[in-house]
Amino acid sequence: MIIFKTYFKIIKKQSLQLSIYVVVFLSLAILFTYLGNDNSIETFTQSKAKVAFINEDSDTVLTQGLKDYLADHSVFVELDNNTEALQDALFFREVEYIAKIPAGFTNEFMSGKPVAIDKTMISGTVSGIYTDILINKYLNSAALYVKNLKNISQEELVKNLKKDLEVETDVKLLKNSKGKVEKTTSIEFYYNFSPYVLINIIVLGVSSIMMVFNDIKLKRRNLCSPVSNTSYNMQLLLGNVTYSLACWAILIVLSAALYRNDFFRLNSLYFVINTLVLTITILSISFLVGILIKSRNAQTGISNVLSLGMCFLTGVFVPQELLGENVLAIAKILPTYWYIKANKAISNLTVFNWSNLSQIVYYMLIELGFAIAIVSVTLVVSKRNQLKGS
Amino acid sequence: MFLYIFCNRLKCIVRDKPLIFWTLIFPLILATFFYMAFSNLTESENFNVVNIAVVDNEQYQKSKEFRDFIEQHSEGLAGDNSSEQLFIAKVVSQEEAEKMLANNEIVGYVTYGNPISLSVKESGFDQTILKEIFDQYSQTESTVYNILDQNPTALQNGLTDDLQRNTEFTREVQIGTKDKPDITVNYFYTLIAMTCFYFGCFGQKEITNTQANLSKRAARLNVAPVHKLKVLTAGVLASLLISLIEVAFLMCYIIFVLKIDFGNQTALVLLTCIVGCACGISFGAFISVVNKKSEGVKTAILIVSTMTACFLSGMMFDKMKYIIQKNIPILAYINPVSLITDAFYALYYYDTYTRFLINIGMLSGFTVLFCLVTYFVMRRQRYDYI
Repeated sequence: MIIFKTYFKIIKKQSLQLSIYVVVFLSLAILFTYLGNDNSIETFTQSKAKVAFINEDSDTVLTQGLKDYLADHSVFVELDNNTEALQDALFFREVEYIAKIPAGFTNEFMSGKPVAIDKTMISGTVSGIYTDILINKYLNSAALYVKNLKNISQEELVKNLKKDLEVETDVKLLKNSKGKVEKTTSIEFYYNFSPYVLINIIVLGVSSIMMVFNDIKLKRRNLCSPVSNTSYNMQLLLGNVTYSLACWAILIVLSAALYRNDFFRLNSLYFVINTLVLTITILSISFLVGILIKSRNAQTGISNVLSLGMCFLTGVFVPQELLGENVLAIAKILPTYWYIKANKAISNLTVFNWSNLSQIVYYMLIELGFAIAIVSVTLVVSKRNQLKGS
Repeated sequence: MFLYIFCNRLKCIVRDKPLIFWTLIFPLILATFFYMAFSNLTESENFNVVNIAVVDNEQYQKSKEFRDFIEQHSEGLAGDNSSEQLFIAKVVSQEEAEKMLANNEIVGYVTYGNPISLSVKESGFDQTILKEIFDQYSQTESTVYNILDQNPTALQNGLTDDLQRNTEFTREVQIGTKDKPDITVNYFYTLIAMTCFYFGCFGQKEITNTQANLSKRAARLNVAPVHKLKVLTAGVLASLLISLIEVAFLMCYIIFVLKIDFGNQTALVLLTCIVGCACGISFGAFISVVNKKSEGVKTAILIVSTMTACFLSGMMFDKMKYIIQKNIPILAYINPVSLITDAFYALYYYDTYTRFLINIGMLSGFTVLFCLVTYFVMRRQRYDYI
């Protein structure tokens, strides 16, 4: 097993570079786990926009009433009332609607003069239009009172409005035919993200080995050693498989440690299987990369471009729903696209019957199809290289 | 002599294929990926007119007010200065409506009655807006009854006219140069900043080639009768020239092919690129002189610190820059990558120059600091033997 042992000596030398990817991945996974909000929704909940409410008028009953009403229907963001702070918050979508009540607003409103609240929003966005509707609704009703009930006091006005606005439409949330409302859990996020680290560490690891053993002088020397060609190849293959499975196992163990509650559900078993299938596909890609490249510089270049490309275009980094149609069309020829689709189907699984599972199996078969195709190409290329005598 | 060294350093850099890949090809590829992945991102927050269905039942046929209400919103909000269509309504039977909802043809269907009921498949902003619109109907109804209760003469005094009139009580006030700032531009800004700091490899290479204890070529160069500062300056200027050409290439690609918005201050955008490149190269030189580890370790330090700085500027997660700015502002000021990103951002979105000037000032400060440290470490270093 001399070759098998050499395999892991080489991997050991690379371990620092490889572990960087694992560390980066882990820290991102943890970060996003804490940032990501688990919102599993079973009843209808109203969406809320992030609103900054700035009152330059004095604190009147009317402005307080409007503020209370908005507060019920939005998430209030506290911001300093200076242009830069507002701009920064708006750009990074920390706030989606800034309502600034000008000085003297209440007095003019109560006397029936035309007035308006200054709004700054990201134009054309749903959240902005939604908040606009809320404010206009409140003030339109208020204007009705002011106009038709002479000398109504602010207290009375707000009390009346409060009562009116309690009347609500009855919303029925019909269950999705597929089963339940879609959501992204932390564990799904973890598994969605894992192709990035898997591609990097497997491609870098395996191609390093391939580069060493494919070196022409070393190869010639090995060929005249008493190790048979079959044994030589089998040991290499065994090394590759062991290494890839080890990478996969590390990810699984880490996910079990990070998401103790979610991991021991039946869904996770399918995540694990799906990741294993992807690992096989990535291994086949690594073979191809390994016989195509000649230098270490090319190796990091290719592994980076491959991992970033596959992750950006197929929905690993950006959810598939947010990608353009053209991009998705390209994504379909990449295995990670099907991996993500499978993950999505898995996380929506509630009933584990064949009709639900068949779709997931179908996606996994596509991933395996990629593996077979890539291995075939690799074999052709390596045969050609052999014939050329290199 | 100076020109001779300069030209030869130029050739050396251009022929270093891995270096050109990482500083030119890789950013171009990454920009393309960013573009493909993010071009649809802002689309998702836009408001789209949604399709709904109204169940054609007896109550609906009886209530003219509700029919008018549907018509009014379906055609557009009949405000004085707004004609926003909020939905497109179809009047269909109950079964038809259920089928349409199941097939995702509509966002929801509404059944008129007391109370009005809205059937949807999921919670979301579209559904919430629908609910608000129909809430408005019932709520206005409640308002009218309430008014009539207290002032029965209101009907004669134009209450119905008032009802028809939907006044806009909000007035759009734009801050900054854009009414719809695009958050994804930040990714491209960090990408350019990253490229500037990848040019640090150029700086590092120049030091390796001039500092006698770092390479054999540098040792040989040190016995040549030429002033070390001259060699280094020629090398650094050659690096700067190449980096400027590369960054110009990248900028052209991002601005003209990918059509990313940089605002209208072309000259200042260019200035930011120049200062950014200078800062990146001097940072590489600085890293190279302050530690005596191998070249691999230096490259690793360079790349890891660049990527960390990029992460903190929002390259992997756009809101990161804001989080840092809000909670640890000092970190945003001492992070040169963030300074470059922020300079672009200020040019894109601000109508004032204070923030831009602070960024450029800080960046220039860093560049001078890196250069000075490099100079003082390197000068008068002589070796009896190496």
